Amino acid sequence: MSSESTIKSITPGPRILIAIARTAITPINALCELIDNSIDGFINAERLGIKIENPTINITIPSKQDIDSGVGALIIEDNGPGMDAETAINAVTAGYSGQDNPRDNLGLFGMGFNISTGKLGRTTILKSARKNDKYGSRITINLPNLVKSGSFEVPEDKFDKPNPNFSGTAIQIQDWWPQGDPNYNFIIKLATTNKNSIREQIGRIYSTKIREGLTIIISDKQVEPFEHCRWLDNRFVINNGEKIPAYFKVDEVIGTELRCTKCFELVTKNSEVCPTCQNTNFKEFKNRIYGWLGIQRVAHSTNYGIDLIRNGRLIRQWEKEAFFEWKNPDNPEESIKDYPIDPGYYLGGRIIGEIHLDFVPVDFLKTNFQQTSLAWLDSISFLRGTTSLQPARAAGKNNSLIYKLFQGYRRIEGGPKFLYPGYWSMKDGAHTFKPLSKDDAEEFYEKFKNNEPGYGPDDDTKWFEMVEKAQAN
Amino acid sequence: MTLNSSKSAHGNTFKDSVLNVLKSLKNEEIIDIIQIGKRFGQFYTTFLVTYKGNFYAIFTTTSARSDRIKENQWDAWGIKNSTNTPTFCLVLLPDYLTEKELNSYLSEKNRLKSEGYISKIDDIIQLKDLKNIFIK
Repeated sequence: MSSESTIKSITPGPRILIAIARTAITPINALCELIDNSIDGFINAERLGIKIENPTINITIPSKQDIDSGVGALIIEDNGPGMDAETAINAVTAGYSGQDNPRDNLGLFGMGFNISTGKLGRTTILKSARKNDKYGSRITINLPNLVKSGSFEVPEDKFDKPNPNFSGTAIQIQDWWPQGDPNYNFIIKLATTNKNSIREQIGRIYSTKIREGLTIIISDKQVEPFEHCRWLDNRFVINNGEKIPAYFKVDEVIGTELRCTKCFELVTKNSEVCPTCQNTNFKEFKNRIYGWLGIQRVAHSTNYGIDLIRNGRLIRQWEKEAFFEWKNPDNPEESIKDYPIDPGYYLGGRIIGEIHLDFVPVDFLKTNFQQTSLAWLDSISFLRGTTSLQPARAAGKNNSLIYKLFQGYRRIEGGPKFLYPGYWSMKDGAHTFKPLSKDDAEEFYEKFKNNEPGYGPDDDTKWFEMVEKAQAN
Repeated sequence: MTLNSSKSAHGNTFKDSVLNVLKSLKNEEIIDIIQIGKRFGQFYTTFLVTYKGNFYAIFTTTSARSDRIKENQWDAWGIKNSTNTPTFCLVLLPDYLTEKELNSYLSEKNRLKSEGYISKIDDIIQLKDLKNIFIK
């Protein structure tokens, strides 16, 4: 073999764009990837001091009839700051991430746009315009044409802005995959999903952003943010003489990390140059955990656990395993179910929360945090402690908030002592506690959602009356 | 075939013809988006076309009877109030009309253009004129 070597290009062909569009992802997550792009636009505008009045994302989902007839489009449009032609091209380039700081943005790897748009349809038109530009830029990506031409070159042209002050970005996906293609059903699934169900899911995923003022409209109706049905801040129980509130605000910096200001890779404290890009400037970032932990007004068989959020997007909904199962660090095979196991366990659990872990890395589809990362392990240790929640079953001291809530609310029995609504009724000649029935709980929850006096997110008096009714006479 | 089902088939054939014209405009990249049977709450249009950032609500009908046009006025009013996008509302009739229908069509079209007449419908046209709306 000769010692001479030459450099060869392994640049992939455009077919790679079709291949990545085969990535397993749900239609809702595909939609979220495109919503994330708009939200990142708003975040960046804020960072640059650009004021966006009423930040809004408007989503139009095609009907099944449109798809069957080969017309219609999925449109995600926002009134963000918009992009110039070069930035717009970068935005549609697979693997190009416009996020110089991945900690503070939703977009991460520059793949979400291509995976999502490619799964939904064969042609994507990206239109973007900035306030001070005379024209907007339009880029058209037609996947079959790209494959046919063997080139990554796409047409870019200008379009007239609807008014001189207009700014924003619209992604228009059309030209549906034909029957027989693996992605054919993808858009059908989205189009045939009940729109209220889509709004509910999106309202859950982006509840933080919506509460902060973002408007999301799906097929002409505004998305409402999800609200947890939790006891208010003044509710509590007394456990072994200790007052344990039903709500804890969480705001703690659990550490810091040093990152390169150019490539944003982690660097060690005493490094002089970034090992990745040789930059010598670093910035210290705080690893801040914030949000709340609390108690749901009734237990539920599945709807309990902690919502884990990153930069305003829900990553884990009702996370249970990380908090309510203890794994022996010396023997990961050994695990103990901590909760719910006590009297009333058959009703389910009621420890809930919304915790923001903006600094914890996530997988590239944003369906989970990287659970082997130090940031994740430190966060979970902080929130639930390092021992089992059952002191008798694991050695060590646990002062975590989850442990406190577990101690105070693990049992479901009647009356204010346990803060559980129900009745004190006669059974077999003796008075016994009967928890709020499933039907009654559903009725109360409907009233909660309708914000009826005494039932809503800011008023739990009617619920508490049922706690008092469950008090042993 | 009953009279009603015959009328319905006639209406559907006409809708298909309209869709074919719109599709050809779309393929020529003249119009941007076609949506079929678009609802804005209680208001309905047979087709909603996006063209140069504006909406064109197209109400297809095989009859220009004044009561039909009044129904379309209601939908046109509702749609224009439901969206912030500038919206033009068109009532679209087939090219071949009976003499009676043709007279109704011309009468309604003239009424629409007459001074002082309040209308949320911007025009009443026949299928042969549809392309001209978008190719100017």
